[in-house]
Amino acid sequence: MWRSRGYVEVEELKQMGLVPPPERMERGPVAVTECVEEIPCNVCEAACRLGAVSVEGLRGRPRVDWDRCTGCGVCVGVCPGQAMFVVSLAGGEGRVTLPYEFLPKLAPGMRVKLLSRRGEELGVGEVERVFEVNKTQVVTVRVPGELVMEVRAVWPL
Amino acid sequence: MRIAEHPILEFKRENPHTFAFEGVEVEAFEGESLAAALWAKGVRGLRRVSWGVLGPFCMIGYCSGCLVEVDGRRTRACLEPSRPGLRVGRIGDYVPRLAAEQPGKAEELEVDVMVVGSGPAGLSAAIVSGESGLDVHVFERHFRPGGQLVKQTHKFFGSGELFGGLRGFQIAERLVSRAREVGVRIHTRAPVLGYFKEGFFAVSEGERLLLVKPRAVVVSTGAVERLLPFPGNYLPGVMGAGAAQTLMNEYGVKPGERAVVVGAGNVGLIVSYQLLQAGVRVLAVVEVMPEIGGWLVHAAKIRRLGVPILTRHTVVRAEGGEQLERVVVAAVDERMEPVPGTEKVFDADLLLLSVGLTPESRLLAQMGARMVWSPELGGYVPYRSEYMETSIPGVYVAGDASGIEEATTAILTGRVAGYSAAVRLLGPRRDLLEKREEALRLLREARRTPFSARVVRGLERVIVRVAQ
Repeated sequence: MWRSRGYVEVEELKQMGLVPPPERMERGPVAVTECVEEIPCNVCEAACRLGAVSVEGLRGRPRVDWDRCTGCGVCVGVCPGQAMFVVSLAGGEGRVTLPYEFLPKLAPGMRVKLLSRRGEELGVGEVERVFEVNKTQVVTVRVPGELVMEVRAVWPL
Repeated sequence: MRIAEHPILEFKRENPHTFAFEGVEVEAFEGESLAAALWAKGVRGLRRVSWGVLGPFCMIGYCSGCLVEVDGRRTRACLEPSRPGLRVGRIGDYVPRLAAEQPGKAEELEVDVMVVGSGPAGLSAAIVSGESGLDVHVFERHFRPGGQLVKQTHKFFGSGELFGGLRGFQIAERLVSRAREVGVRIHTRAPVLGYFKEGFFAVSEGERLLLVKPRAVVVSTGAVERLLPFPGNYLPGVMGAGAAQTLMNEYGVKPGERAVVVGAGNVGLIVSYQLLQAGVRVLAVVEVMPEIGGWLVHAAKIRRLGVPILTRHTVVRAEGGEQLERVVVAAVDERMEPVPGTEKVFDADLLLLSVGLTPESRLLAQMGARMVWSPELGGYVPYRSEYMETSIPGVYVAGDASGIEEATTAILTGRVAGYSAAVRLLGPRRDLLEKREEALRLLREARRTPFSARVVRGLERVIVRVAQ
């Protein structure tokens, strides 16, 4: 159970219907929410200009409308729980967009360690794109396609 | 050691100067507490007692681990701003002196609303009463306003109207500037000493004694971190999680190099993440319960960076000579007793306790408000109406002093208390009543989470319904 582990498994996310199908990931970047408890928060919903994220009341689980979402990554930067990610399999290449708040600040071209939800090293990836939302860096990193639902943090090499 | 660069914070570090501690020069900057500058210098033990050396535990003026003598006066190093040339020393065998100074003349100050404490609850109460046109004075014993929001670097949950998405210190900045904008007067370094039955509060502000006569009072004095009993818990380097936040997030001083955190509630999880941001290694978070107490997302943030969370574990002792050197933890059985043979030893110079808070409600008790022991709310709290009025008419309570919750509910109970004070002084104006109802609605919404169930149970026993 995630409350003794401290993280949620992909299988659990799938059972909750939170993982977009591979076809959608192949079409282009799409947001994945790993916010599975009912937190009194709707920052993601308020930040999405496309209306692609909806939270029931102030405290339901957020749901992403995979057709409306363009994978822009704004929700990744604003989420106070750092529980929003963007994944993509477009062009047969894996990409994950995730929040990063450490030093050194990351920039495109830098190589970083790829970490799983358990903190295991999954290899090395290259940073492709970075933007900042209130001091949180929103980092897109290239990863092997089979790891888009596994990589959830990066760390400087 | 000072943090040179931080991913979220910028430390101003203006007007470098020195003061002397036991004859040794200590570098400090404007706006730094003596305790922070001493910690940066590597001075850990500030007090020698018969059984050993003590260090600071709370860093916010409640424990006595940082008591020092400054220019012949006894004070807490965490509440004393550094100034050039101060002479600071250990207190030794302190004997209170007869009043050596000439008693200054007391000044009287009549105010509409007196707010005690300038955290999120107090400032929110002050803002809404100030917006209503009342003369509002906030009294804060620290030298800067904002309470414990100042040291929160993470983004807060919530909606836009409740500052959701902003970082704690940014919320503090907004509250302070809004309070000043609406004419609230914030007195810093102005501890409220007590209430006198003649109808005034004694406040010590700088060199003068103020006798404050308010028409309404909001007590928003916050909470104190709990200590855990285990051998070695007094060693310098064992401190409250909030104390480490004060050092690293408020002053940019690294609290240690290698840390163990006790308690996987939100405070423990958040402080662990902030330690990593400050460049401190987090060796483990230990939690006595079988499950993590805080939100999963806060746990996930540190798990993915490789920090282990040891559930069903507790700290059994801290070891070290003049300061913490090792932490011993062990698994616990069904009765929460440590299981022999399961000990793990961590070489750590920092052991943070995040095992809960206790409401700081002594001022209300001293005033004679009816108090009740509430395990759900964290300790002694005042009975109050749903409009936050205590058993003393015109005296309101808000924030953690009314029961341990978090910053959002502190802001909302502060608003309710502030509107209630305004209604008392200005009459039941419709706009005030409507805004108070709106704050109460948001409060109910914020408390509808599984984690609030316990708090809500506690509140059912301490809220006295009144006919309006």
